[in-house]
Amino acid sequence: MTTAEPRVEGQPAYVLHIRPYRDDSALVDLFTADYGRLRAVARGVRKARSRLRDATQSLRALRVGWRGRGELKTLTAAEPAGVDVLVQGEALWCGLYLNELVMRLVPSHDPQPRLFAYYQLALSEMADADTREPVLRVFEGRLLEELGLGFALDRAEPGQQAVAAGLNYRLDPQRGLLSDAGGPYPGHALLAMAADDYSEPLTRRCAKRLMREALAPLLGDRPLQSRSLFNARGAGQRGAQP
Amino acid sequence: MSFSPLIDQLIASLRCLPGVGARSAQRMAFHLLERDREGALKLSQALAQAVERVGHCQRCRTLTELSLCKLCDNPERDASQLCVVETPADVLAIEQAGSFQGRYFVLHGHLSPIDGLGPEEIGLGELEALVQEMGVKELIVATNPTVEGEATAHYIAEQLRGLDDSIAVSRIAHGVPLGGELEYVDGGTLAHAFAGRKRL
Repeated sequence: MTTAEPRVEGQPAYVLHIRPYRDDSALVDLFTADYGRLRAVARGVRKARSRLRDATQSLRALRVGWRGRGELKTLTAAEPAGVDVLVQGEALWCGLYLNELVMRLVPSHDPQPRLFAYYQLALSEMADADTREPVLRVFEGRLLEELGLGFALDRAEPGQQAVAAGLNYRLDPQRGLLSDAGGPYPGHALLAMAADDYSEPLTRRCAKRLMREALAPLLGDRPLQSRSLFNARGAGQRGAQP
Repeated sequence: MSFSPLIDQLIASLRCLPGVGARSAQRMAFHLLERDREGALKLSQALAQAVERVGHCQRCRTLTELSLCKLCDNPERDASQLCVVETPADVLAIEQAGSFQGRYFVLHGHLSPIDGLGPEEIGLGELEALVQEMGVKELIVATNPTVEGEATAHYIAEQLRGLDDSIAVSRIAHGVPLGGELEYVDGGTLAHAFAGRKRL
């Protein structure tokens, strides 16, 4: 009984993480367009002239191929897809943050084509320092939504009333936003977030806090390590800290 | 096939070496036992001593059994230049190239949030202290040209920016290998080579 191993070719993917494996190989965690997150072994990838060489760089659009029936696939091809945008400086930290979010929260072998598209969009917007922070917030929101844990930013309990600019709200992990006079989130900031308008610094601060709070139960007692990167400089002059 | 327990144990132990599978481990074990018992004894003593005594240099964190490694202890080395690398093997590679006369600092890794390696785990606090203590004028960041290596380099630059503006932080250049042909160079490397081009 010899059925051919399933093969996938030319699949758009990003490398999330790479770990040395045996002498010259590596275990590569991939986020793919149609197959979700999966792990593949890249044989011989650490040799100087490996054809899988491109699979060693994260934050770059790739097309990959693999074979295998089990959990762990065998990488058969990896080549750059399209033109590379040089990710530099603080954008790198944001990229590592995105990768850590996807690694930690997206279940493996669960297709997430829409989230993949958001990931791709987030990376392409990363180079611009002004849009970097909104892009992270939007991605976090979409991630929660795709994981089935999203909540409306313009409706609040009790009774799914429209969020009012002049009122304050708090987040209830089960029920979403709740009207609460002492709540930390002003309605006008929530409405701006709902409209993807992050031009006000207050909206950005509020969005950062809200997303942190919404993600916290999913992360359990292991906080995201990449957040510590943004502490390099002293407080007060931080940029797009997640 | 199984041999006597001690031979099996030796074969199994040899397999911890990189590139040594069952077959080569067996060959090594029989070579040592049949043809070179003296060598085997030397090997076992050298291993035991090295494992027991080799630690990290107090200053640069490279591997050594001395409290200060030879490079840190050498007064001829230029203390105003400090080169940050990921591994002791990188120190060796740069030393063999012979073009750097300063001192080193070994991170033993790079920032890797998914692996739980943050700034503290790779000794960036110690680096900051060392830079101040040594009176470094230029810090050369020679981490690997990977996303994590670049993120580490950027972190170090930001960390020192707040500390002392008189310290120049530089990054080693990335580009086309010597004797190579552009046609065979990957897109990422070419992009870096263009971004870091020099005026002639």
